[in-house]
Amino acid sequence: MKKEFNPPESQIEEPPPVFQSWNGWYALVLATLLALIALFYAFTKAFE
Amino acid sequence: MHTLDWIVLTASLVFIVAYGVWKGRGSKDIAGYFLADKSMRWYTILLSIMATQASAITFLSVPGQAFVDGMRFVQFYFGLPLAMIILCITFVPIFHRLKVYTAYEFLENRFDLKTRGLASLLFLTQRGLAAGLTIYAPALILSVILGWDLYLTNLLMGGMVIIYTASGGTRAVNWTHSYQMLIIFLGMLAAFAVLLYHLPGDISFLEATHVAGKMGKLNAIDFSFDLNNRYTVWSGILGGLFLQLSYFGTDQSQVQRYLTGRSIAQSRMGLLLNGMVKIPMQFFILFIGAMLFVFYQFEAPPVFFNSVETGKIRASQYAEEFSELERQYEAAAAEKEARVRELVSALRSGDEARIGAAERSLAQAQEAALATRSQAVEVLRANDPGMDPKDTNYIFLSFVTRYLPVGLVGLVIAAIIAASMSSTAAELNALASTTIVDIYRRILRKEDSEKQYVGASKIATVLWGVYAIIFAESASRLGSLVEAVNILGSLFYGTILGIFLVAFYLKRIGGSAVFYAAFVAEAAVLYCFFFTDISFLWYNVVGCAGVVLVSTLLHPFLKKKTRS
Repeated sequence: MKKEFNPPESQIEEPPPVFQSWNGWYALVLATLLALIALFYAFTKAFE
Repeated sequence: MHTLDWIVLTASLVFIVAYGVWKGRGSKDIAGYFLADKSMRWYTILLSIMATQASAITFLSVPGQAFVDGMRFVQFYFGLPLAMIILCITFVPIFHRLKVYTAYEFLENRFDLKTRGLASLLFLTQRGLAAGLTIYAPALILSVILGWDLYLTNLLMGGMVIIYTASGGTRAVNWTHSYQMLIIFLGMLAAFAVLLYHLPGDISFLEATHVAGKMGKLNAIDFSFDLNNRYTVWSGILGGLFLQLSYFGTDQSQVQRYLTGRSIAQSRMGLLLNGMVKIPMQFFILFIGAMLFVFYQFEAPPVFFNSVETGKIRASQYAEEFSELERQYEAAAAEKEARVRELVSALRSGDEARIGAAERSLAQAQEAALATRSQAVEVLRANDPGMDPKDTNYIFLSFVTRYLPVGLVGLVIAAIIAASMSSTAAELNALASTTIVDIYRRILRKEDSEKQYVGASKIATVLWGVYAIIFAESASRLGSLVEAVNILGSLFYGTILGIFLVAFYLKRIGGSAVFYAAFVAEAAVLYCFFFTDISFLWYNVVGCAGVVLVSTLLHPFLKKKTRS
């Protein structure tokens, strides 16, 4: 028989660390990607 | 290998297997066996996700790819952070709240059993083949270095993984991933440090980087828009997004890793941090390949890095012709080294005209060396028509065995094997969970006890392991391994992703429409693969868009049937 998991809702809906909402984390990941592309572009050009 | 290397290698591997068996003991039901009772924290999930994706192929083939083709492969990962965000918003909360064991279980909730079955079968086909490749890669290393029989090496490698994955399930897989990542990081850092140490004393690190750049190996970014260009920013962001979304959202070997999170937040944190650290890690591995290229500008490289093939030709009628080409290649390499030193001298002077002249002169020397190498490859092929003309996978390995000090050779080989074990373990674990949860328990044996399901899961893990080992035996002619795996994945991922996207975002479309649309989309992907030159990253877009469009078109005609 299938076993059901029943952790408390408070545990499932834990708030994100550091930021007030998950949008802060999503923005940070996006900003990191853009920064890396910019950095790699500068790297490519600097040693071209 | 030296005795100390053997001790380091054996101790690392025995520890991983024993630790996996120990940590995985005591699973009494399939919730414990396949989801580790949803007890994992974000850092274990992060390391497990990374270890699953970073197979031995990553460490064998990627440096070699940078050596030959430059660092442009890094763009392949640009879609990954975007995929992590979409997963955290959509997939993770839904999977957690529905308390599913596999990604495909969700499809029955949303559509019907046949759609769940189709997605499960596409996954089992694709991942079953890929598991063979992840065993084959390090087996190839050992067979080349130690002269072991490839068949026995595959068997040994696959056997070690089967022991702890079958006995401990997901808990064993996730916990061993943490230690495997530690060994991998140590091994790659050691290789990089030794590589820098072996650069000539009169050439600084910055100058070495300039040489790599001037010789076209630091081409990390390409903004051109060309469908036939395999790696550009656009193919990486768009095609890569679809591929990574498919891989992390619909491939059970990854879904199972974050389903073990003790909460939605823990799973999200593991995925988001993966989105931030994966690209720098790949950049570093590619940079090792670019520096390896510089190293071989000052140290004559072998004309062909696969020592098995060069060994064969020395015992053949072509031995003398090949030796002559080796001498020519050595002379061309010496000429090239002189040109590189001229370039470094010009760079120091800062005189643009002199730098330009030195670059042109070096390009000519490089062309001459490559022409000699091509001739040597032709002779090798004349001797062994079935040989793989690419030696990308042997470049990094060749450096490790020839230049790393005693002890570190064992560590780097342990890192490569650990990487293979980590991916294979996750794959076998996912293949078993899909087989048992989506097929065996859902269709064949609905009323078995938990103990019987755990027993069947262990048997399924062993059988998939055996299947992967058998496939590994025939994997020797697939060219660059990392590309082979990604191309194989791209043939199926787009279609599976399309099914999931329709499930999440097009709520009106029913099971029959998406089921038939999946067949049409898969046919379109296979057409692109066999009859066009479109880069494989775009297969994911074709497959996914095909399912979404065709299911939308079919929906009005199948609506009544679906509702009834």
